[in-house]
This record gives sequence, structure tokens and C-alpha cells, in this order.
Amino acid sequence: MPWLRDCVGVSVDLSLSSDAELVAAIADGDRAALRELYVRHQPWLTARLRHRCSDLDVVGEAVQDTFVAVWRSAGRWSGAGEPTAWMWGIAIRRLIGVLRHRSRWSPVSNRVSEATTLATAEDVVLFGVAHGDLAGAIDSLPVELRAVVQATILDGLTTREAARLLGIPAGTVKTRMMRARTQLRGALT
Amino acid sequence: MNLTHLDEQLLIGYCELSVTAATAAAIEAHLMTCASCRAELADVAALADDGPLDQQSVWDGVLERVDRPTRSITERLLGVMRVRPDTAKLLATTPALRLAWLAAVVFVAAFAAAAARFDGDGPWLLLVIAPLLPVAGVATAYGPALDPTYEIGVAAPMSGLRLTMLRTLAVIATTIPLLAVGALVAPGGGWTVFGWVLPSFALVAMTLALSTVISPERAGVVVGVGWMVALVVLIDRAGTGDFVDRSLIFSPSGQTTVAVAAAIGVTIAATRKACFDVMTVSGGGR
Amino acid sequence: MNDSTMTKAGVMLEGVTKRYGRTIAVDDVTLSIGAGITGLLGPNGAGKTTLLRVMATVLAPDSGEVELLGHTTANAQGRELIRRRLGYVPQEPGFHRQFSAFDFIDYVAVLKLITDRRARHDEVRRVLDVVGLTSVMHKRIRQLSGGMRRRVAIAQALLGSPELLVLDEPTAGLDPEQRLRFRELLSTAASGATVVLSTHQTDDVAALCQRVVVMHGGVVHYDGTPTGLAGLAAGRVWLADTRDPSAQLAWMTGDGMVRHVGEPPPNARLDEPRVEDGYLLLVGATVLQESSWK
Repeated sequence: MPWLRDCVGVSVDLSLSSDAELVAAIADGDRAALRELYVRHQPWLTARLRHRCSDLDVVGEAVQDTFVAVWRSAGRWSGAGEPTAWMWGIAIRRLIGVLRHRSRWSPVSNRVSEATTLATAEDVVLFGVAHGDLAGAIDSLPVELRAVVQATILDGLTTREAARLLGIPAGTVKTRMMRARTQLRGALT
Repeated sequence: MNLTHLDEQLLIGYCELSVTAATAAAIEAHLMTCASCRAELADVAALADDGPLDQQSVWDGVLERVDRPTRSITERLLGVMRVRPDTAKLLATTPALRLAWLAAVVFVAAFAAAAARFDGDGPWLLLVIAPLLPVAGVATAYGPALDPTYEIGVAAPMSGLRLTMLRTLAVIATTIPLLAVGALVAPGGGWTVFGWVLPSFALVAMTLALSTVISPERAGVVVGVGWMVALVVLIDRAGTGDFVDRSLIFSPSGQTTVAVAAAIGVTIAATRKACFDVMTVSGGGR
Repeated sequence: MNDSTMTKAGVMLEGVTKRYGRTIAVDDVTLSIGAGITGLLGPNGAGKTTLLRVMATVLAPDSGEVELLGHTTANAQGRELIRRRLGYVPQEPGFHRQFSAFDFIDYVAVLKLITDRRARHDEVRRVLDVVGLTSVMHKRIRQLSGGMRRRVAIAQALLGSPELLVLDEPTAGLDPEQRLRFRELLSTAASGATVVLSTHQTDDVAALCQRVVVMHGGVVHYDGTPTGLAGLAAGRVWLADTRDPSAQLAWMTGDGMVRHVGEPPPNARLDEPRVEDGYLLLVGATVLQESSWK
């Protein structure tokens, strides 16, 4: 439609808007702003989710869910911090949601009630320095422990959410996290 | 904190899942704060031979879900009550279904009930005021002055009478039960406390009938004033007791007459239904 | 005038009269309008809106016959058959405050009895695309600019691809660029349909309409082609350096010349007549004074 192109042309050039401005525009129902946000953030969200889940269909569905959730909840975004972190928080939880939906062993409760994460302040500090010895230490962790570290510390998930993402019981997440902590401390001293 | 940017090889490795966990973690930490590296990653991902996923179809899926129409709270409530979605859509524009209006009705009902409880003169205030509320709701539910899309609605094939009746029923269905709760709270002599119910229907019917001649909001005012006059005039001056006891309207024969008036109003509105289908009153402009 | 088109007329008015109290808004108008775009031109209060409301089945005339798309407007059955194939943009369309553009068009689509939800939503999206509002269709209407609201109003009229399109001053409040786009839109969206629109702008008529009807005081003063309307002023449009004080119709143009319509002032040369000249000649000096306020 020639009209449509004209209209996009005369409206504000969205490529100059900040992410926060885009989210505000989305809260007002601006579809073009959602499109711009999608173009900017879909690639890295997809790439990062692929590091959490190998099934491309699941990742695609989670990305789709993420932007639909962004559209619906943009008005509730507090405006504090970067939209990037907010969107990742949505994306990883949507991934869990899709996995839960597809998995055969459906969990008993579908509510995220556990607010505490396993990541302690120490973990976060450790991980802020992702170089040198620590990098080696992490890479040397067994795969299953590394996945737990990634889910709880990097992605900031609760035990329950991490359990769903990894498809293991919550108790296992806790014990693996403890083992990972011990191994990391051992490798660093 | 991030002085340098990620180089292309590193991003390619990240997209192909061929970097170590620690490197991936470092890349992810950087990506969260660096827009230019996110853009770089987008370029890298777009160039990959086997694009990780079909961007366009994901976006189409997003649009498909985004473009489902939003439903207002009123519409969703009506949906819960098994009202068809398109009917709910028509009803949602009725001012009398807004929270503000319902709150006003609750307030008036509560006030009248409280007056009956503490005043000691019986539920006369409730009986006088209650029939006026549905009239106000119906008088503001349609018409050239208050419905902003009135003219478009008239030019549409949906029957004007159907639209009007739908909204009238919506007003009655919300207002009458709220008032009934007020009446139950109010102390009073048995059924007299529900003496306003039949007049409510009668006044609404007369408002509808009159709105085939004048605009609905004027019809509402005329009917409202008429109700007040009737209350004052139709009094058994020789009788004893309080206002409600002496009023002819709240006597059994009075209530029968009111019911007949309601039937007459409905009949007039139904026989003059063509008036709901064309603009009867000038909305200004020539 | 004899209707030159061979197609069946979309609009047939026979002696239509409408009064408001003592004023006669439309006085014994007989018209037949076929496919294509017809412009209704006239000063404020000429009876354009009343006539368009009659053509949109919104207003019943006091006397006279109205036949639209082959059905009479005198009974409910005929009106419903017409309304199923009619699109109407009122002069000042209002909107419910809480609605987004999508919600509003969807609401009108329900009024237009498009009951299947999926089909209705597809149609809503289609008309919003036609007027170029896809990107803002979920914004609340009150957040949209005046020009966009006009387009929302036009979009609802296009629902169901009507065969009769009645538009009351659709270009009012649009800036020149938007007016240009509107012309483009109308010429594509309305192909094959009978389109009647009212306007104050003679250049809209010249650019858009195959036929023009000039109304003044509730009466039709001209009915024919825009070129024919311009032709009424042939040989009577003069350009002079100064204003002739005795001239009835004269105004200063952008290039500093004074344009006279009617008797030649001294030291004047003839100029090409335009639609505007013919229109002014028809409805007289009162209109010129009125339009100079705009």
C-alpha cells in the first residue's frame, strides 16, 4: 500500500528512539514501535535462548511469546533500568513456560511461588569477573553443574524455574548448585 | 565497564554454539549493556547460512496475536455471563455499564436505604428516587446528543430498535438488582419497600415511547419531572399515615395502573419502531 | 439535466424537501446520480448535509421520493437492504473515548452485521490498511491526530466495500498533503461505486469529481461536469492591476493581480475560467465574502 509507506515515512523515525521510548510507545499501542523493538532485540534473544534450549521450535515459540508479552505488559514496565534486562527476564520465563507446556512430566504447581534465588551475593560477584581463573573453572565444571550455574546465577531464575528449564527436580538443582559452588571455590583457591 | 566491543569471530562462535560456557557468559553479560554489539550480532545471525529460525514467521505469529482486539472489562464480564461477543461489543458502549455509573447507583441506593433506617419516616426516599435511576441510564444510552457514533449507527443495517432495547435491558439488568439490594437493607413495611419496581419499568417504557418524538435525554427529563408531579398530585389527602401510606401510586390499585402504563409505553415504542431507525431529531448542521 | 450515464443510478431523488421548523433546508430537489464521484458544492447552510443525510438513509424527507441502489427508503425493509451496501461518513463523526481505531471499526462492523468474528477482524484490518493506519490501529483514537481520525472515519465507511458511499466534507481539517492522499485513496477504493461527497473546496471537485452539483439555499443551481461549471465563466474572467470598485466579484490573487468575474473592468485581460469562477458566478458575492473568512 503506498499510503502505508508514506505514513511510516512521515511518522517519527523510530530508529532514533531509545529502547525505553519504544516501550513507552508500545504501551500506547504503537505497532511500529513493537516492530522496531523486535528488529533490535529478536536476534540476541534468540541466540541466547538457543544456549538454553536446543529445540528451535521451542525457542521460536518462546521468542514469539516474549514479544506478545512485551506488547501486553509494556504499560506495566516500571521504566527503571534497561528494557534489555526486563525483556530477557520475560524471554527466559516464556521459554520455561513453553517447555512446561510441551513436557510430558507436567509439574504439580504452575505458579512461581518461590521468590528466593539460589544465587548469593558471592556468586554474583564471582561471576561479574568472567575472566581468568574463573572462566577456566567454569568450563571445567561437569555439564550438568554448569547448566545449573547458568540458570540460577546468570539467568536469575528461582530453584523451581531452573528445575523446569532443565527438566530435573528442584531438590536436584539445590544439590547440584552446592556441588558447583564447592568445585568453583576449590578451583579458585 | 565495557571498554571494548565483541569481535565478529566471537559473535559467530556464540551464534553457532561453539564457544565455551564461560565465554558465552561473558558475551551475554556484555550484550545486556551494549546496543552496538547487539546490532552486530543481528548482522551475524542474519548472515548465517542456516538462519536459526524463520524471523518472518515468528513476527507474523506475534502480529497475529497482537492484532486480536482487546476486550474491555465490561466486555469480559459480559463474556463470563455468556453474552455473545458481538452483543457484548454493542453493550460495552452503554454509559450505564461504566463503573462510574454503577458506583453512583450503589451510592444512591445506599443513601436511600440509610435514610429509611435512620429517618424513621419509612422508605419514602428510596421509593421516590429509585425509578429515576433506570430512566437516567436509558435516557443517556443512545441518541444523537450522547452517542458519538449515533449517525453511523443509524446508517448501519442493524435495527435501531434492537440496539436501543439491548442497551435498555442492560441498564435494567444492572440498576434494578443494585436497587433491590438497597431495598432489602432498608427496613420497611414488607412489600411496600419494593413499590419502586413497577414504576421503574413504567418510567423506562414511557421514556422509550417519548423518545420516538423528542430526543432521549429530553424524554428522560420529561418523564422524570412527570414522576415527581404524579407523586405530589396523586395523594390521598383525606388519608392518614405517612407519605407512602397516603400515596395512591404505592397502593395496590395504583401499582396495577402503573403496570398498565408500562405496557402502554412498550406498545407505543414497538409500534413506532421506525423512529429508532432514522434520525428524528436534528443533530445540528444543515 | 439528462443523466448521460447508462448505468443504473445509485441515487434517485424526486422532489425531496426537508424543513427544520420554518427554514427549508432542502427545497424540492430532483437528482439522479450514477457510478463515479459526484461532488456537492455549496456555501454553509446550503442544505448539503441535510441532502447527504437523506442519501445515507439517516434522515427521512418531509416529502418526495428517495430511491437508493434500487430500493426505496420509505420502509424499514428497503432501508436495511440499502444499509447493507452503504458507507457513510457524517460531517463530524464522534468516537467512544475508550476505543482504539481497531475497536471502533470493529464496533461499526458489528453494527454492519458482519457476524463471523474472523471475517470481521480481517475486514477491519483491510480497511485500516487501505487508509494507511495499520501501524497505529491499537492506539486510542483520542491519541490520534485530526487527520488520522478523519481517516478512521473514512475507514469505517469502506467496510464491506459498499456500492454507495456518502461522505460529508471528508477533506475538512486535512492538510494539503493529506487531501492529496485522500484523493488517491478515494479514486482507488471507490472504483465502480456511486460516491457522493460534499466539500467547500473547488479544487477537490476539479481534481476528483466527474460530476458536480452546486447547491445554494436548498436548491440545485448547477448539475454537470466540473469543466462545464468552469465554462459558465468563460469570457467573464478578467485580470486587472487594480480592483474595479463597481465590480461585484473581485479578489486579489497571489501574484498581485485582481481577478474579476463578470463585467470587464477597465484595462483588463481575459483569463482561463476555473471551477471556482463558475461556482462564484452561480452563487454570488455573498459566498465570496463568506469564503474569504476561511
